Amino acid sequence: MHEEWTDKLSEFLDGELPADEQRAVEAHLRGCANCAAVLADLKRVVARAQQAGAVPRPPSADLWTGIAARIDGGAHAAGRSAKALAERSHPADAGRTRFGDRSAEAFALRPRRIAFTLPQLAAAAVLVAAVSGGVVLKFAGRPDGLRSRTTSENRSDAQPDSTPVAQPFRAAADTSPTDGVDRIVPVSMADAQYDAAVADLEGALKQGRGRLDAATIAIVEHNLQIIDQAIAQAREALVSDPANTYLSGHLVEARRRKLDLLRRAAALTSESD
Amino acid sequence: MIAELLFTMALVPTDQTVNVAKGTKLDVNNFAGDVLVKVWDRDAVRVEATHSDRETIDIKPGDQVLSIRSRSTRGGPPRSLDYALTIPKWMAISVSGTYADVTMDAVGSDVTVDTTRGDIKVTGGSGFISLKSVQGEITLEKAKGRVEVRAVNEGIHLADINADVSAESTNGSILLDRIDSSNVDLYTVNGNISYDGAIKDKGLYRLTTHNGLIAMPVAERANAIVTLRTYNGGIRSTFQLPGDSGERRKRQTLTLGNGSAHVELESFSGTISLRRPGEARPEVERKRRDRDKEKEKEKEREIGPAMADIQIDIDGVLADVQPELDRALADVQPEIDRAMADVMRDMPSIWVDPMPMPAPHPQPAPRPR
Repeated sequence: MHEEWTDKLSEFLDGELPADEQRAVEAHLRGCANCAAVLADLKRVVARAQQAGAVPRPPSADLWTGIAARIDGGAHAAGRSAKALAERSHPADAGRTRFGDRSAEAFALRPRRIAFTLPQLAAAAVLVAAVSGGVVLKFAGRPDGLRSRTTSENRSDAQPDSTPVAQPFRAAADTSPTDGVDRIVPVSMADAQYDAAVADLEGALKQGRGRLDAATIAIVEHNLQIIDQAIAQAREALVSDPANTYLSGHLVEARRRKLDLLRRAAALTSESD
Repeated sequence: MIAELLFTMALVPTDQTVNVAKGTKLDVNNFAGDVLVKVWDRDAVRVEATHSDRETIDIKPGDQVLSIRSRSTRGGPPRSLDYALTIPKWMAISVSGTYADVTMDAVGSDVTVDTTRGDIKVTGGSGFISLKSVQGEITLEKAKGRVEVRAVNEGIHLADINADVSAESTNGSILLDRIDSSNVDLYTVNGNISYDGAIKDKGLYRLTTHNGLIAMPVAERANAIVTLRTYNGGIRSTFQLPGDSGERRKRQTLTLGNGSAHVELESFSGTISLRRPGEARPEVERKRRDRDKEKEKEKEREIGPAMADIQIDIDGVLADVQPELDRALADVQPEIDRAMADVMRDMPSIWVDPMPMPAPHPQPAPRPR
């Protein structure tokens, strides 16, 4: 059974295992090609994530269109991707997903965040970053995009199955060679892009704050402060532990929550018209 | 009083019942006020509301949607309005509002509620249930299907749910009781998460908070890979964790049974607490105590003004009866004077016979052993 080993690879890579377990994993890796391959994948994904985080890359102009198309019709791709990941991690289980006999497609349709403890976790972090970056791009690239409900919001209203919770699978799809990894360039959650999106949303909120009562504005601002504090703490932790995949994922989640809250607040101002 | 009377006279009731075909959805928008929904066994919707004569309620039956809105007949801003709706159990319902408190009892289909500032309390619901409030507590009980709950500045309480569950808040705790689900996703930035339910085979459970405690029961025979991660917090358990060397760790993975379910518990700066099913949930008890205290305070806040009103009434009554009291006192004054004179006459004997003093209490002596 590989799971008992693959479960430890993430910590192994971070150097967080106790010394005896670290040695045991090393010994196992020497004799297990599957786990060695998973570790190699994990290293590659982490390296890509770090690269994406370090170098702000201007996305191609049609990136959002690609992401949106995948969100609209991406369930199958997501399912394929999840299946591909499962097959890579556990060849013996090929034909069923990591989550048992439910189909990956059905699972991908569920409106929830999904993360994994294995190499998928790192892949998911990249993917969430990519999709969140897509949101950033959507807003940053459209000056008036945040002054009204966005297409993606309307889409998620109409189609709850397209909520971001299934996005990790889509990110995996984007990074899966079988699905054409090079067709879509991952968008980084680099500070410049993220800050631009946040600034745009804050601007929209500021513009529309006259349409909200003071108490509601105070509530929104208070909650934004709470998220900002969480982001700052996660960021500070990452400075001292930059390879920690949990912290990377946590930071991405917190940033996504801030965007979500800002979008919701901006939507409130337009609903109050 | 006169103003109150005039106000009462300006209120008009609406009580209208509309027959609906099976499959019709109900769409209600209420800017402010209560929306109370209950069910009956008729294929009809009853709309009861009391509102000012400046407002009218539009009940528009459509092909598949019955919509209910209020509008001002003389223009101006929307006003607060309380609705009591009775709907068929099979009917899907959507309620939106800004300052709307929404309560539903025993509803039996899809439910969507979106309010900015207001509490949401729903019992029942089947299918897709989506509840959102920025400032308001959200409570959902006895629902099945798929549940999405989004709060911002308040907590979430889900109980007796048989559904896929996704719940998140920014500044509030998430408390779940008696959950039967194989797909649970809970997230809050600042708050505790307390889960109560079985870990089902092949299930997926993800509980994440930035600043708060996470508590979850893990049965001895569960089949799951349980991943625990924290940065500034700790991990504790009421039972011995497999492979636990007693060392304080920030990350731990447990493989239980065949490991078919996945459980991920993450708290950046809080404690992750595992227990066996049926064991005490101190975090819940604390929360309930806090809530009870808050309710007591609320009652006191409500009672305070009422007491002030009563005091004003007492003062008014006293002022009214004061002349009568003065007259009565004047009538009995001679009797009082006579009684005082009698007392003064007996005074010397009181001086001669001093009052008996109590004997000092003896110090208890220790008993010999």
